[in-house]
Amino acid sequence: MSTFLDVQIPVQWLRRARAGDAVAQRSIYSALTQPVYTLLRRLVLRPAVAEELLQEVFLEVLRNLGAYRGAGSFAGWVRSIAVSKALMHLRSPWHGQLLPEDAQGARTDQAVPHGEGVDWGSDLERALNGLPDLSRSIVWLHDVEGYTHAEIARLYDRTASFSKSQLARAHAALREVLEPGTGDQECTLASKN
Amino acid sequence: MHARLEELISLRDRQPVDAASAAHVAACAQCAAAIQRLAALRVELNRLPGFTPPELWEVIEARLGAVSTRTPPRRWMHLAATGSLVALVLALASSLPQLRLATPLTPGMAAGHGPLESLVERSQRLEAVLRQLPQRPAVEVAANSVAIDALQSRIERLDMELTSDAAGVPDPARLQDLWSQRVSLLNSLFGVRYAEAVHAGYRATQEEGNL
Repeated sequence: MSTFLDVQIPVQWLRRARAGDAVAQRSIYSALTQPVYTLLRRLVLRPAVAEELLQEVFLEVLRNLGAYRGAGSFAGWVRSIAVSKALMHLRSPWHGQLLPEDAQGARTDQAVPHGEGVDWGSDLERALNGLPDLSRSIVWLHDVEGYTHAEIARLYDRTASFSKSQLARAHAALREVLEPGTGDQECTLASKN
Repeated sequence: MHARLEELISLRDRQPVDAASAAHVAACAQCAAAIQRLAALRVELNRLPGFTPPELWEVIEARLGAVSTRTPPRRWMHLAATGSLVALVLALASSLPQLRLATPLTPGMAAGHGPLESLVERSQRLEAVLRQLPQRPAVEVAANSVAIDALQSRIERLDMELTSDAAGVPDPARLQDLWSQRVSLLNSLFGVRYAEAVHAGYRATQEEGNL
């Protein structure tokens, strides 16, 4: 489950931070920086970009604490800002566009050039990082952060069906990397005939 | 016929699927095994380790201009901040001729005959300069806010279209037109933000003079 759900921010911190108390602001930053940074790294991959976005997220959060009305958890509100920032970056025209998998093509080992500080770690990590931006972000938002297809559809300005189909493609691609050659035995491929 | 992967994922997530697929999966060992594998993969995704963030608080605090309630601001700090603001605005103003930010697009460029690379470059430079502008003032002029919101919305819509265009058959003329619009909108946005910053700097100077 999303690590954001484990973070509880005391109401007193929020009240003091809204009043400009730097200690309370730092406490909020300390409590949330790890889940925010992890989410950003999963969505944008590149550490340098994630660091820049991490700053942007907390600047927006701390400057707009008054906009948080208490509906839903504070950590969830922060997460929505982080997701928005990451998707804005991926959507920017000079980034490798946030395209459907068909248009973007497989980008295994191309999403981030080696040597840019990305930890390729486990097979699953490698498979996930090799997915196109769109597929990877949808897998992470749906399977880890718990976003529904309807919520993802709103984020990407698409339909829930689009989210479902991209998630299925991403899972097929992950399977192909993690268990190459087993796809032919799968019942899931039979329906394509 | 076996269930599609989309349907298997829906079943894994306990979401509704059509009755025929659900009935098939209930009786199909292969489909049941596929759902188990999908569930296991989700578990593994959730077990992936988190990343250790770099310590950026000091940078954020500096950008935030956070003021601790334990140490009330002093007058010299106000003066220094005001001075910095005025200096920054003046520096930006002096760099305008080099950046040629205010130069309107020529009709040819607006019509899609300008070099695309140049438009992209101008767009990036404008964004970089916009990022250097001071924070928007705490007390905003309503007209400025409306104009800035409208411009930002139009830029976001353009970005969406630019992204969508790249997904389909590339149309260089259309692409050029979109980038021309983007540069034009960023120019306008810079104009409003710049005027707002100058006004805020002037007002801050006046307030300091009244102390």
